[in-house]
Amino acid sequence: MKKELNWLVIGLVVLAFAAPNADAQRRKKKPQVVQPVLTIEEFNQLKAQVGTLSTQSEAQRQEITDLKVKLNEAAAMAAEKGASEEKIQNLEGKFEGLETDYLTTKGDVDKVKKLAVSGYIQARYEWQWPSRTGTSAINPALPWYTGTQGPSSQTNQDNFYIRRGRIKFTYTANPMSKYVIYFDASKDAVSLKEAYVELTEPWTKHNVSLWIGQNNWPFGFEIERSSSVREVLERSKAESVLFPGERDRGVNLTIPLVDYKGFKFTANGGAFNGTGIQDNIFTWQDPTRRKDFIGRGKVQLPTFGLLHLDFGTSGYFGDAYIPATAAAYQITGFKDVNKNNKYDPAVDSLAYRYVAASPALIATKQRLGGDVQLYYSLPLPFMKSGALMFEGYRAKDYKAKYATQYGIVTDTLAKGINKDYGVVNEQGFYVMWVANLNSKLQFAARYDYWDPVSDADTLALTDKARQKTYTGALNYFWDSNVRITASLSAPFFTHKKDLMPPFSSSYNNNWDSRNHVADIQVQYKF
Amino acid sequence: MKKMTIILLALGLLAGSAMAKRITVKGSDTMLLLGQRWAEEYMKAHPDVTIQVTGGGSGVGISALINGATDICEASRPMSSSEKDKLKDRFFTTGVEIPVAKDGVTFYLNEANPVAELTLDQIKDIYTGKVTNWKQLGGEDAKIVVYGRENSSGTYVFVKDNILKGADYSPGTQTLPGTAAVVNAVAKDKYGIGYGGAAYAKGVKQVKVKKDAGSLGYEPTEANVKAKLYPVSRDLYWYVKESPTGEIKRLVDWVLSPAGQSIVTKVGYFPVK
Repeated sequence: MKKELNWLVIGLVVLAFAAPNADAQRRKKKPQVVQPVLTIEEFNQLKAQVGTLSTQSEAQRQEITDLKVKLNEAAAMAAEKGASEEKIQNLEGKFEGLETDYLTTKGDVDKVKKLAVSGYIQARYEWQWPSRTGTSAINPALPWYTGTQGPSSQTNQDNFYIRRGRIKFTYTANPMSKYVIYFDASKDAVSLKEAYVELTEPWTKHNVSLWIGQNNWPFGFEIERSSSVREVLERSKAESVLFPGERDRGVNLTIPLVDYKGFKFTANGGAFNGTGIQDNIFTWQDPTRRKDFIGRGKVQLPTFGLLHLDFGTSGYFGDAYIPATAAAYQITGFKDVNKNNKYDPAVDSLAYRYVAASPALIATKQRLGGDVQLYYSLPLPFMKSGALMFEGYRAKDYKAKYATQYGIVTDTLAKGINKDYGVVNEQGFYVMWVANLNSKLQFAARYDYWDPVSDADTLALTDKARQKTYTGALNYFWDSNVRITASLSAPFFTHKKDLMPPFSSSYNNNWDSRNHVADIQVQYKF
Repeated sequence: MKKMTIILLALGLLAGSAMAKRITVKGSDTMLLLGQRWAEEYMKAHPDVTIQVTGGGSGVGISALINGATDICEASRPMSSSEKDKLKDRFFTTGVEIPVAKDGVTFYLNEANPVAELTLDQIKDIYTGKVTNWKQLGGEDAKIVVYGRENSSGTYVFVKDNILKGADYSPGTQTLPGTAAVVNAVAKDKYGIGYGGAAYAKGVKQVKVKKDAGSLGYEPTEANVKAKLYPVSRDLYWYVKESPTGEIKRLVDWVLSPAGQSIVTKVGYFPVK
């Protein structure tokens, strides 16, 4: 304890001497001049600079912050871009897939577009005038004298029916070939109208084409015109007798020889079976050894002012097979003993003809034709355009000849195979005027003449009834598809040295009014 | 007979009602703009007349003329012989052909496409699919995207007959329903090529067409078309069934007058005289 106290005393003594020395040193330094480091101005400037720097620094800091944000955004975008590129690649893949699909679909659509479908329907209401004589045109099997009231008792004087219901399929794979099939659904049956292959040669600029199959006989103007565009409802009598059905099986070569500045010349040549499509016995075969040949030339002249002229000529050369017939009696009329113009079984007697048996034979079949069409265009408000049309036919066909008497008749048909025996000349023509009154309304008038035996008077012929027909028609074009037709057709017949009703010589060479027909037809065509 | 008379009179009245001053114009898409401008101007001067102009293509217009569905058909190609026969079947005339303007069939390229000239053979090769890459024609290494029109278009037929020489278009040709659609597609497609009337060439480049490799290339300008230097120039037509009468005649006369022909120039085609 004594030792610690000693050390404390010594420390206090040292402190007592050290304190006055430090104070003396402080008093020695006090008189020195202190030089200032900055002036006030400099200080203020420096302060201002510091403030500025501080502001700048703040801005830079903000800038850095913004840059950081942008950097983050860029990083995010880069990430998105990577994803987008992937999406683009996916989309490109999908696009290529769609393009492939498109080309496939387009190829399919192009194939479908090569198939053309067209057709028309003619729905008709027909009213037949009561005949003074003769048989019903609708049902020729019903003689007019059936029943007790004569002509007025005829049934089926008016009918609704489908005259034509056509549909046509045409597939044109390329300009060199075509497929056509054409059906008709009318009245109560469906039938094949046309079925052919059309080949067009690629070597010349003439587009020569060959039709092979069932198609139109290339004869005349009426046949080549569709029933859907004809101005009167039915074809002429001559055409319907000489070319029933208008079609046959064979080949038809069309050569457009000239087509220059409105001048056209077209030649046709064909070989056909000759039986047509309405032969009930030979529905598709040719019973003759030879084919029938047809040639046609048609000229279309350039438009001359308001006129335009076309004309053509046609020839048909072939054979017809006449089947064998058994001997038979045919009722041809009656003797109107009491002159009351109707058949009274108690008083009147029937007239017959005897048809002797005949062997089958081959007979000449020939047709010649000429046609002219004059088209005109008139700048008149009530008549815009129209046409005058003429077509004439002269033909040779086999006809059974009978010498007739009252009662039993004697057949004079020659036996044998002379192909010209029994062949007679036939002739017919029509002349038609058509006028477009405006773009909707069209008027047509036709005179039509047919003589089934124009040069044989020596033998009586039971079917030698010449026929002339007056037809008037008014066509109204409802729209581009629909045509409404009102038509009146008035045929007149002659009977020459025959036994058809009314069985009176007073009717020889007189025109007899029968079977006048009025029609209203609506046609839809597409 | 009375019934028949009444029916005939009724049909006559119906027909008469169709004779108002209304004119329908239908056909070529190439001529659609032109037809519309003519109609607008004519109707301004003739407020009592209504003119309805629609497109669809020359083939559609000609069919409408044959069917009686239009008064005037616009066509960028002449009527074919078979079409005239069909018209004759119904109206007994082969139609009256009225050239109303001239045009250079124009081939459009995208403005970014470096190719500037093509020969007729090169165009044929593109459209028949023989040439499929722009590199073969001095351009970039990229597939050619071929745009064309539908077969009802007169320009389709004109190009097929006069440039492709009857050959079929390449199956890869993308068919579009109007010239405007073709131009729009080419404007958006750097490697596209299309064709149509000169008046539609907005936002696309008109390629200079050379008759052959040794010839100079020409653009479808009025001077080049009139001087027959541009190798694919053509007439644009109006067709009517018969010699025009009444309001249709007045319209046709006006279209061929200086006033009507000035609209041809404004639209982008070239006057007939």
